[in-house]
Amino acid sequence: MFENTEPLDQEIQHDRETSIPLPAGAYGVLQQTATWAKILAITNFCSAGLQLIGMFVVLDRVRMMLRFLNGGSNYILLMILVYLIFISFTALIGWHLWIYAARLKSALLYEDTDELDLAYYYQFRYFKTLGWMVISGFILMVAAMLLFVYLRTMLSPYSY
Amino acid sequence: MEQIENTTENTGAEKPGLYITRDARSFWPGTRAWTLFLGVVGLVAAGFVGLVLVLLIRVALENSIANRGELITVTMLYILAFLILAGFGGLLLWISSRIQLANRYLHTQNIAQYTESIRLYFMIAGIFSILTVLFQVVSTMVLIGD
Repeated sequence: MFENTEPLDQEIQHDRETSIPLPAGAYGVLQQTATWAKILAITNFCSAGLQLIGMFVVLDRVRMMLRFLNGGSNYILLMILVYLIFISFTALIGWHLWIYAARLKSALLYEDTDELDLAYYYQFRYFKTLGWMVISGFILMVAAMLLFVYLRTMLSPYSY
Repeated sequence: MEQIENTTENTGAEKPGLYITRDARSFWPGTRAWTLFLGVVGLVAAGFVGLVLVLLIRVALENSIANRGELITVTMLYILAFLILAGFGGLLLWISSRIQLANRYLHTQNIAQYTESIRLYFMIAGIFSILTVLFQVVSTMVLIGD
């Protein structure tokens, strides 16, 4: 009988060791975090929408300038691609933040630990997406610099 | 019969309090790595902006610039960019260190600090985001009206 209860006790102790109760002061802090995350999500959605409007306006202007350049439509397509990459990233970050805030609020309201697990998952996804956006931005910046050097070399005979 | 009794027992404890499980903590190393990366990138970018700022001020002092108003505006923008990048870089590195401590020692105080650092980050990022959207609205309106 004792042999049977011993491993069971150990198991319960192990569970208690792995799951830590959330500090009492953290409830209010998490509530505020959820509110700010929701604000940040909304501003990200607004930013994505404004970038979309800006894309159409800028492309309309650039279209007029590039029509005399050989292969100008290719550069417009490139610009659309760059805009769409950043718009997608902004919207995706907003989406992750929205879910993060929702999970956090739900976890606090119903005191549901599973929801808190998911909140930590979406917090990770948010930082991961932000990181990939930075990496993509860096790659695009290098590509734009190379394109600029190429265009300057190509256009230099016509500059004077 | 035994099953019914068990169910009654479970519903009796409606609000058991929140726990940080092993599943939740399994995401912490990933979050820590990405915050570390973003923090380092932020500080490196701030370093580059700072370098450009120093060169800009040096050139401005050595040569007599006719349009001083424009120069001051550009310098102020660079100072602002430097402060934002350095601030966010430092904040993200701080978050990264808090996550590392919370994950390593699993102490209540460390977890509280981690939670607090994340709240501070979202608060500052939220304020900046509101300002950025306002700036974007104005610039888009100017662009459309131009």
